[in-house]
Amino acid sequence: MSDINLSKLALNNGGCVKPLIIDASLTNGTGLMNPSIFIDGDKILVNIRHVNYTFYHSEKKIFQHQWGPLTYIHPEDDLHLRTTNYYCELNEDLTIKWITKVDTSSLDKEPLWEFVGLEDARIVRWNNKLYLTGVRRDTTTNGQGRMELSEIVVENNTVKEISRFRIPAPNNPNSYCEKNWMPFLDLPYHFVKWSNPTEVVVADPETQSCKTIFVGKQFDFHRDFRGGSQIVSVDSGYIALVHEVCLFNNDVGRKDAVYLHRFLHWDKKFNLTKYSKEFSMMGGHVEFCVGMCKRDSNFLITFGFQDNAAYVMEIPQKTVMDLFND
Amino acid sequence: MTNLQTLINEYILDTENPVTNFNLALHYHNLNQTASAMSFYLRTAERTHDKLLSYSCLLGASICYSTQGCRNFTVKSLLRNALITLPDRPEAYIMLAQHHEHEARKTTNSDEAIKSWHDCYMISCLGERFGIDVRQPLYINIDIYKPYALTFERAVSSWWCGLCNESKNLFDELLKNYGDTMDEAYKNAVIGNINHLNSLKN
Repeated sequence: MSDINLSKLALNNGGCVKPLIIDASLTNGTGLMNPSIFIDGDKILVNIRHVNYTFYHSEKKIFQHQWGPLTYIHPEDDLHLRTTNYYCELNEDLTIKWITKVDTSSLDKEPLWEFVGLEDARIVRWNNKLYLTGVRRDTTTNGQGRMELSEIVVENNTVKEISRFRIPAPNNPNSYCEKNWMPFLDLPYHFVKWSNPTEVVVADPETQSCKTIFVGKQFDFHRDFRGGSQIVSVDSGYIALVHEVCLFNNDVGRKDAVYLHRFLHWDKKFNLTKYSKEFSMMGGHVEFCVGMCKRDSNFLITFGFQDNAAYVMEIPQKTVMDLFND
Repeated sequence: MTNLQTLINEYILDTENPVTNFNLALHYHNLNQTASAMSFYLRTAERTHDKLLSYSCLLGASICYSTQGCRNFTVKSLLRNALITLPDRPEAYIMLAQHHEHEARKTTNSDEAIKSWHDCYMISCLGERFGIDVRQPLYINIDIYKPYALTFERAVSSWWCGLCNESKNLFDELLKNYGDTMDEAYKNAVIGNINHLNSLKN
């Protein structure tokens, strides 16, 4: 675990952390996680991922589940790990103004694998179209994951998915799972597919294709940087919040994990130039961030805590920049 | 929501403190946000040195999963951990016995039902013998403990385990000892069972 708690840093520097809650009558009380945030003109948009499981993590290994210290508890009569997405608009004080489930019904097909739905969807607006972009793994019988671009339309407090583009994997069409690509907020259809070495790809919904346009130099670092929030423009280039996974087995071979987080910085030419100190989001061992944008002199950052709770944080940009190593 | 905000801030400033975790768990539970509540209950249980707080949180976490439905292995896993933590308290025995009773009644598999009835009987016997310490109130507000609850579970399950005389005697004792004080639902069940067993005899 890191000694730095980003939420505490936010609070101690004039920021805040607010809960993102969906009424339990809509969710059966199960996990709310991995929200994404985007400022769309004068509106603050958030997508909250809802899952049909409740994550169990015995962080101190004292009260482990019979299935191990880390396990996903879904209904015993439904082995699917189901995701639905809730779109909401926030008030200026980051409380929820209104919320609705994203209607995907016109494009849904019978799932072929256990993970169902669009996972960890980031919100972007590109070429005047509003998108959710995340990974879907239910279209093949082996759970192959591909990033998808889902165009959504917001009308009269309803949100409907009107198109779905399954982005092919560039270079290796047979790769098993492409996920956590980080979309550039200001560069339409551009993603950081991989951070170290940085690989930038561009998807093209018209031609249903995707190509790599940049591969950077390998940074000498002991863990993988994995996506991550959207990529946010700053004066000196780009910044994003990424995670690192320490996966291990306990003494009897059951899986366990700790996630750490960092900010990465790229220059305007996509060269990875520096990384920040590592931190936790809010003191949990498993946390995940897929949302980040700028508001005035602050960043808004959204994250999930143990797959069971969702939060939005406001933190001064200066506080974030101070975390970068010299 | 304002109170929740205060509790979140207190937690963030002291994330390893069992009290800040517990306060957040309780508040989320009151909002029926059972996934969020479960996370903070479990974090509290693993961080406190107060065994009664730990025990209370494990019961709370089991209620969260029970409320979500169809997570029986996890409910039982948490209740077993509660039992291990404070084997002299009655609540975990009662909840576990009731859970086995519900499982026995729900399943359509007769072998599974018999196993669940035997588990229910075993847990109620152990609970009557060892789960007797109610000197301190729990840290969570649950209406589980009744002085007759485990005897009732033993009375019900013993019949299904083939111990019919024991079952009848226990129901008679329950009516005699607690007939004036027991909850209406329990009383109706006791009388119903006595009438049913008498009708079988005739």
